[in-house]
Amino acid sequence: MSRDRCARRAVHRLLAVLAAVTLTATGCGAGDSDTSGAPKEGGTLTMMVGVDTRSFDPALNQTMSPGAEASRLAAVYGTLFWRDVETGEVKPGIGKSIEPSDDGKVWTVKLRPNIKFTDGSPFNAEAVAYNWQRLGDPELRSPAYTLAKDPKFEAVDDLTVRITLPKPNFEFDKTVASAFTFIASAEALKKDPEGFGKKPVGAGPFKLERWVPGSETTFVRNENYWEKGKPHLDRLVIKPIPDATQAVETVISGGADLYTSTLNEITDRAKEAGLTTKTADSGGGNLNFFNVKRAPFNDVRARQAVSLAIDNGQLTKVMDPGQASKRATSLFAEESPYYDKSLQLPKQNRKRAQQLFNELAAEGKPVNFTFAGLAGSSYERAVQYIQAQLNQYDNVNMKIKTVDFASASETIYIKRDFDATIRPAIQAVTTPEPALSDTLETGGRTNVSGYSSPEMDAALAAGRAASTEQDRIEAYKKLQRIFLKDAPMWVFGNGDPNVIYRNHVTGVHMWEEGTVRFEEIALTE
Amino acid sequence: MAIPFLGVLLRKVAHVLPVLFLVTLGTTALVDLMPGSPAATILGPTATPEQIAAVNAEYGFDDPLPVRYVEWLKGAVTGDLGNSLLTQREVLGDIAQRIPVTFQIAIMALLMALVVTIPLAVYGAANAGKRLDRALTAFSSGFMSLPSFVVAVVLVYLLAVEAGAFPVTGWVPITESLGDNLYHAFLPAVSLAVIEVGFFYRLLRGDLIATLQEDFVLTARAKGLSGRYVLFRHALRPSLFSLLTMAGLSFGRLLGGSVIVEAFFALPGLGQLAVNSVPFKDIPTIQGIVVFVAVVYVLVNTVVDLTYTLIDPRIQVR
Amino acid sequence: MPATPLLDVTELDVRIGTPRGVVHAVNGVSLDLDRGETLGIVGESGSGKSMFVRALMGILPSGATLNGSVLFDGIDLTAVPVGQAREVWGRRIGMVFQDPMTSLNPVVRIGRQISESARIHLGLNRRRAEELEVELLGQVGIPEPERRRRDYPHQFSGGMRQRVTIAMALACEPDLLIADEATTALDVTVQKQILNLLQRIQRERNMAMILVSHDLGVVAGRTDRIAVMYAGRVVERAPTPLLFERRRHRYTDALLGAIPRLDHPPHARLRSISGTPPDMATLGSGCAFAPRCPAADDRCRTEDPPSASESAVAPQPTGSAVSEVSAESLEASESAGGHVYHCFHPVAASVPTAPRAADTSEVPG
Repeated sequence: MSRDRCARRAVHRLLAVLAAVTLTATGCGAGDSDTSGAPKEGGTLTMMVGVDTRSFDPALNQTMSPGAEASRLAAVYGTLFWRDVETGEVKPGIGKSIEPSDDGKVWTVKLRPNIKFTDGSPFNAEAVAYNWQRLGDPELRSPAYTLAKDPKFEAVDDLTVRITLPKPNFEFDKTVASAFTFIASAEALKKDPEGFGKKPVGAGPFKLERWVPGSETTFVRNENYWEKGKPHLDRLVIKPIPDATQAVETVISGGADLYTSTLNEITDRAKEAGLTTKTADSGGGNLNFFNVKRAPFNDVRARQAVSLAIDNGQLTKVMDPGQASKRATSLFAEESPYYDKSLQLPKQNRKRAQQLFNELAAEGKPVNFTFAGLAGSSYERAVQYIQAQLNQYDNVNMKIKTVDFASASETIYIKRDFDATIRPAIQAVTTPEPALSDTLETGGRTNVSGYSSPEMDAALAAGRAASTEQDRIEAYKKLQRIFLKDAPMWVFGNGDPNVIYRNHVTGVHMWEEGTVRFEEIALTE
Repeated sequence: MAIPFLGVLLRKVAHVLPVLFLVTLGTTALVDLMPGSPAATILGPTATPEQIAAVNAEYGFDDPLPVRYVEWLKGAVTGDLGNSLLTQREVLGDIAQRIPVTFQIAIMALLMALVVTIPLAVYGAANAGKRLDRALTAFSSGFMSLPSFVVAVVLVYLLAVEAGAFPVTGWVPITESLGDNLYHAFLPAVSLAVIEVGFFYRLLRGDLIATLQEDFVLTARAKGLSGRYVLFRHALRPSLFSLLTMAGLSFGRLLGGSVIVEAFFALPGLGQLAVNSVPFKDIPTIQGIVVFVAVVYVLVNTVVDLTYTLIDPRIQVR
Repeated sequence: MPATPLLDVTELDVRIGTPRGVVHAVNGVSLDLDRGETLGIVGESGSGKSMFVRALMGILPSGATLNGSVLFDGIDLTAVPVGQAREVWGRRIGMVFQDPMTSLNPVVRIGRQISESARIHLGLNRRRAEELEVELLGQVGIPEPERRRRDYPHQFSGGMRQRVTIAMALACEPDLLIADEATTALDVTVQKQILNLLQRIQRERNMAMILVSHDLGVVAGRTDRIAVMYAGRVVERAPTPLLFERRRHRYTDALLGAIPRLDHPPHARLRSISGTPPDMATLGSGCAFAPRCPAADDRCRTEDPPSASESAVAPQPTGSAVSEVSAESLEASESAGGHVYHCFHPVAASVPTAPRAADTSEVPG
């Protein structure tokens, strides 16, 4: 009967869908190049992101991930300064320049004249200083608090802000370009500090028009944007969607124009369907944390043994079966000035791993631990793979405990009650400042490992204090050597931000962790 | 109509108050058992233990469970469900904003299911045991055991990705454009309706078969009325009780929000609000949804009870 | 009298497939009925009498098969398309069922139930239908018909409901009314009222009527002829007075013996029929009554008794109420329908046993 054939075909297609979700899709189609058509002014761009907006208050922003708040904040606030996604270079935005003093303790920020927030209040030094001082207010409990509590911020004149640091830091512009880059109208903030998160006022390329929680956030063009002729779009719509496959299918079917993903398999699917994709080779990537403060990973040999026992390339493929998924070979990307090909991350070495496991067991310190896995299919796959691989060795025993993201926040990142865990997002490590240093330095905001090494701290401090690029390169080579010796984290695979978009979108450029520069996007005829 | 409805409703609400009390208290307790504190949600992963302590003190997260519950209850009885810990928005407003989406999907799913089920079940019952009836019964069991997300995946693949006939995800409010609204609501509603069709079909077919054994059906046939007339005008109405009860329950359940379908289609409904709130321990929002769903259940059941009297004049509402 | 009878049933068979096997519910029944004539069909439950009338009305249970012919006014209801047969059912034949508590749709107002057949068959509009409802309710003796037609069945007592079902059956002014155990479920006093009502209406409208009952007493005074059914067959049929006077079949005899009589001494034991009716799924050859029959011999158990008949006498008008049995009327009715029975050992002597308590019902004990 034809009904049977129909049913079979439906089942077949269902399998195909599931296969597309779980298996490597072979990519063909468009590469990383821009499809150039004549860009036009106007039009609406719809972007899909992973999570809904929580607040538009830049001081409450918890992450620079483009799938979370960074995209929406960038639309409303633009960027004071921004870092190139691949080189890490700081570039001017609404701010005109940022220069260190000779001793690296004082930074001078120059603003452009005659820029106004969308409420008409002036975008001046006072407003900028107020924003930064606010981050350091303990009452506000900003995630940027530890970064902002020690420096002093003052408006020297209408267009000059002075930042005074307790210690020399020639890399502080990189912190300013990420954690301090979103500047809100000081007037609006003072007027309604409670309600500001819902009714933001910035000087970015777009104004918030409507925020329908769970559904969509609509932005309209800021007619008075400081950069003449920008933005090109009339309207920007950002919609949250938790499921990455559904997000990319929505873009493919024309329901949206653009999506930022860190999963290579999603990018493969987009390529296969003929969309344009762009990948930023930003180095760093996926990593696992060891808790170095307690057994078994307070012993460096345990950390080395586990990371040597696993094929990192396979692990990366298991986590993200995309074509581009590969093993991390070095701490910094090849494009980074601090890259040194003699400083490679170790490859899998089964013999050495087993030796170390045996050695530790003989000393009465067997490597028995619980891996705190995160909920989510790719993380779960990765953690199960690690467990299965470790099962092939003697004198090592790994259990899995899966936690959801919210409880991970508390138990892992705040209370640090874990043995080993997987990091939930990629981390761009083109330059160590500010993110990597935050993870490696004693007492750093994201130092989940609890790693504390005077040597490492000194290398990080030396990198900041280096007034010449040559000195800095030396300092960071030292950093990499310490990293390889101490193995405080297990960096296993690349994890590059990808932008997926329809072919009528042009002018797609990324900054920071892959956020799109909305002022430059345009639609073609 | 108005008077009995109000009276019945009030009585039902009185019945449900203890239930509401237990359910909300239970929710508070259950959320308490979940690892992690809401403070971590508010502050994010970079928070310091001192900040956590400060937030816990400020929001009273450290207070014993009964104290926290009573605090919440005080607000709730005055209609103040508090603010979301996640977004600081008013919970009542957030729920109110999402109801239209969930409500529309639920109504559409229910109507689709009924429109499909009733004729099929009447046909199946009239031809009980014959080949097509057996096939329909087998299909209905299949439908019942199909999870809605599988239906959603298949529908999206066939109708949206392959055929491009419907959008993959998204939502357009009815106030913006009715056509676009229905266009976006169709696949989610069908995904939910399919399972209901399975349940409804079995229920109605069974009841109809029982009704067709009744003497009054013989009487009607002896009047020389056509088979279809007898089925629809005489047998259908007395057979609707179980279906109505079931549809009421389904409607209540659907109004609670279909978590999976809403997440899959990125619909800004109540289910998605719930699914976003639970992992972040956004207690005020979770409680608000629980109260809302409980009240909706009561309302729907009251309406169902009243419809019984419309179907069968012998039933008195007490 | 017209040449063809109103109803002419020939060799009617009803077979019902059940999990236990095929039940031969009706076996080769032939009966006829003239316009204005009243026929009683009597038998124990399970004798096939209800299946027989259901076969006439085309409302056999699903899985039942029907053979033979049912000619109604020349139309073979078993052969014509069902749409054409529906023009007869409900319109020219009305039917009243046994249990008025269940035979009315509980969720439909009685007015609509009464008039719907007329609305569909005769195309009555709403106003005419309402008039008809009121008129019929009045005729069957329901007070305040204007108001009551809006009521639901549960708002009526059992007797009143049966009046409603009679009104329902009369809606299209049928030529034939079938009352299947129409009074069995009712109180004794109500039974009589309903039977009187049926009789009155039958006479007023000069309808033919079939009264089906397990109780000979019910049909005794109200029918022109009686057919006695046993195990799906008509074992004896005769004009009513004749059947009571000169019953031949042993089963008829036994049935009559089961009726309480006023001339019995008080507290005297009633003669009941011993044994149980046969299993219709495993019925073999021979007289079906043989296992319960005091006169049965081996022949009765192996051979089907052929039909035998009594001779005819002088003509007599039909439709008369037979209250007193006289020799003349007996002879008269014998000629009107003939007296046919199937028995190898017919009851020989004629014993006057016609019951006077015609309205009594159940056999106590």
